[in-house]
Amino acid sequence: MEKKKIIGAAVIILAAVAAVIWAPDILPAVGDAESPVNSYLSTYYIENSLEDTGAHNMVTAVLADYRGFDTLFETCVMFLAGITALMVLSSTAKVDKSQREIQEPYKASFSGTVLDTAFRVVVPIIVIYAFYVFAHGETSLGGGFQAGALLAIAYMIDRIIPNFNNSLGNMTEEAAAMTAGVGVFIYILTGLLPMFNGGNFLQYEKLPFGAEHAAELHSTGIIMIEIGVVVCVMATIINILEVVLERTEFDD
Amino acid sequence: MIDIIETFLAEKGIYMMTFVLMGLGILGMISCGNYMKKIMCMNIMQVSIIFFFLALGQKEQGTLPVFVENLLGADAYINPLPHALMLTAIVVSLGTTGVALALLMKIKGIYGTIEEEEITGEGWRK
Repeated sequence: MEKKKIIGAAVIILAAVAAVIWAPDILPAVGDAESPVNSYLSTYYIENSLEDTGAHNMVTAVLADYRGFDTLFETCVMFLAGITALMVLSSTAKVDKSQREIQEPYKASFSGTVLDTAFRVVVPIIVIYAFYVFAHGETSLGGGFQAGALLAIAYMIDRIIPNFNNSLGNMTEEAAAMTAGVGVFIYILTGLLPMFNGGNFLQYEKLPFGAEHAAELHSTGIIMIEIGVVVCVMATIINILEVVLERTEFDD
Repeated sequence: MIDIIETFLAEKGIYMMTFVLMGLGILGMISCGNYMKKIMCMNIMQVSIIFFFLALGQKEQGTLPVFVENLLGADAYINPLPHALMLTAIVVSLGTTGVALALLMKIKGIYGTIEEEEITGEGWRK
């Protein structure tokens, strides 16, 4: 078995190297500004996205404005993943809370002075950083998905270190799934609001808020859908974590 | 000769690495008997694809795709499109991993094990 694996790995490595050597013209050189990938559409994005959307960060401009529908269904995919994990395991009985807690001889390896102090120092920084990343999603580096993941990490650390069990508040799996749904709803609502003002779905210029420039409305729209994305991503990660953790026995 | 190899590695070497990584991921998904290891190999494969697309979006002397004052022109910034697409790919991989973990726990609950050979019974893979 082991020998077969090694032979297979060797064959794959040789095949990959041979494929790149034999077909050098198909793949563009790394850093080639003239390659097909870096021409056409992306040139348009780079040259016009500040004018079109008012967002300094081009990745956010592409993600939240040009490809708004893509991100909407991306958020739906996250929501569905959380719901699916909940549905798959809903018939499995939850482990009793007394058994779920880490038993005495093993507790030392999950807690201690270092972990507790690290928790006190790290978690506030993570939460502040998450809000920073979220607020900077439009003007500089950052974005909704990353901020949601960071917030979920803060919750996850809190959930896993036993001495601080649920000190940030306990979210049941159902509550987490519902919160993810609220995130998707915020996104769809942002898309629907321009339609009451005579625009299309996700057409930020027609958002019914008073603003002098179209760029301000674009910023508002992008911030609003990022709120939805943050809530959805955070709640989905918490959802999957809770679904799995509530059915795990720490017996070995 | 050494010059040719060096240029080739500088221009195309990263593709080789991503292909190798993807091949190893697929090989692991096929050959590993443990379902948890299969999920890890799936993640390795997804990471290789993300690397591949990010390598395609690089430009020489390009800066981050965030606007800087008085810096205009498409050649000054790297391509933002692969970054946006791969951000969504990362999120999808997170979702698939979560669902896979849930399925894994279901399998563990029903069969009591996540080893493929013990579940199929006969050790047919050997």
